[in-house]
Amino acid sequence: MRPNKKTIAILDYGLGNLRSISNAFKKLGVDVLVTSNPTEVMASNGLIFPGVGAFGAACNELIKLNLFSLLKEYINSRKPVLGICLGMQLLFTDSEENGYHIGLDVIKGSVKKLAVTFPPYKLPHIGWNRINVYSDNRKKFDESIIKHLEQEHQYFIHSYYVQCDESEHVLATCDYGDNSFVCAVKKNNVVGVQFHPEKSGEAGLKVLKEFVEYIE
Amino acid sequence: MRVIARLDVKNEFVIKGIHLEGLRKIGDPNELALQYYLQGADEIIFMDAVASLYDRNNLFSIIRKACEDILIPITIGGGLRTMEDVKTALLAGADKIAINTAAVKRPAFISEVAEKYGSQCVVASIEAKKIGNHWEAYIDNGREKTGLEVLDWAIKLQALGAGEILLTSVDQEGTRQGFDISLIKSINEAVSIPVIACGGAGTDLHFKQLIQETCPSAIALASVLHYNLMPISIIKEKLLAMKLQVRV
Repeated sequence: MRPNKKTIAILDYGLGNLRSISNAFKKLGVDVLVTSNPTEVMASNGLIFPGVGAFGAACNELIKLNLFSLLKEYINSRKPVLGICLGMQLLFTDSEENGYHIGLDVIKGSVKKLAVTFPPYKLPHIGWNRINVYSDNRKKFDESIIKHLEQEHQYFIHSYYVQCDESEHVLATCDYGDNSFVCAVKKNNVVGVQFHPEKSGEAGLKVLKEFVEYIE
Repeated sequence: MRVIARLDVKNEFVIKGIHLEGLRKIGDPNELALQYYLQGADEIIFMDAVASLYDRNNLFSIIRKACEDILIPITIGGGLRTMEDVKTALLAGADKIAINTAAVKRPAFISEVAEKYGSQCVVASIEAKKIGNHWEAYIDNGREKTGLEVLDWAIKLQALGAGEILLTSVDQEGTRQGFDISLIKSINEAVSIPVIACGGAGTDLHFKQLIQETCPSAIALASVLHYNLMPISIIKEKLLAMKLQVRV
């Protein structure tokens, strides 16, 4: 890695497919550091906060690796952070997934189970859905790293969604069944997306490209 | 509806058979996967066609290479039987793990993978053969019967924590004679997790016939793509015309 370049860290806490995220950056010609080392994380200039699986299990892993409070510290330092899927959900106050769990509380709101009617709607929600701009925050959307995603399809795989208490942070929503749920948020230096940009073809790749440009 | 390209792999070649037998070489797995990705496939499934028979898995290096170029979800299946196998597959770059034989032999394996990596990671693979007026689940690529009734097994797999069901009709597989619609309908209506319909697609009429009866969350295609019967873009156009939500 070139020392004069800004570094992007991908937080490794034992969950999820980190290779696909680092491969996506590789495709952009950007070196990334996959790490769980607190010093390396803090020294980075931007952080990808991924995650799949269960909210509670993820919290436990973060606490075990001394990353829970470190993440809060990182976010407070105003460096860019991108939370993906569970990584986005963990930014919120709490979750009702398999019990009650406390999140990072960076953004006020709760993680709740998608209420869908079966048949025909299934859970987990797995598929490619269009991104709808949250029109109240149009300007914020247009200035964000997901600005090019309006009406683009992105890949979703989840059973829970975030109920955001403060609508000023909402960038975009997505429709599934009878639900219109928040699929992208931004608060200061932190962006969270429910979909997987690293798994959503060229349009998704552009989100990561924008993230890199935002840092540099 | 997702359109998934399924690549059955044997000894580093994509192969295709009929009823999962009489395997014929089609091409290089990485080249084909990239081709289908660029054509607009929504996901790729790699299946090791002989792994569970010989107790090995050679797909990992293929997956490692594939996910450098392919920015869509990748599922790997065939012969994965331990938590170590699952970990290796995920580290290689797979997003989801398809499990058939190992689940039949020890159903708790599904729960263990789901607990550790989440249900979204677990694709329960069922190979269904019609016996009289019901379906029985098979393992080892349709070679060995299990005595399990497919409907009961699908419900059990959901309860164990599977996030999706890949439902392959051994009878229709490779025939290009159309889906086993009554099979897909009965499972799709019985479970609340997504069902991927696999086996038998040959023409756009087959999609139409399927969708008139039941709408699975995804279709997995092999022969249609391998033998250039219809490009993915045309398939998606047809699905769109049937008012389905597809990514274009």
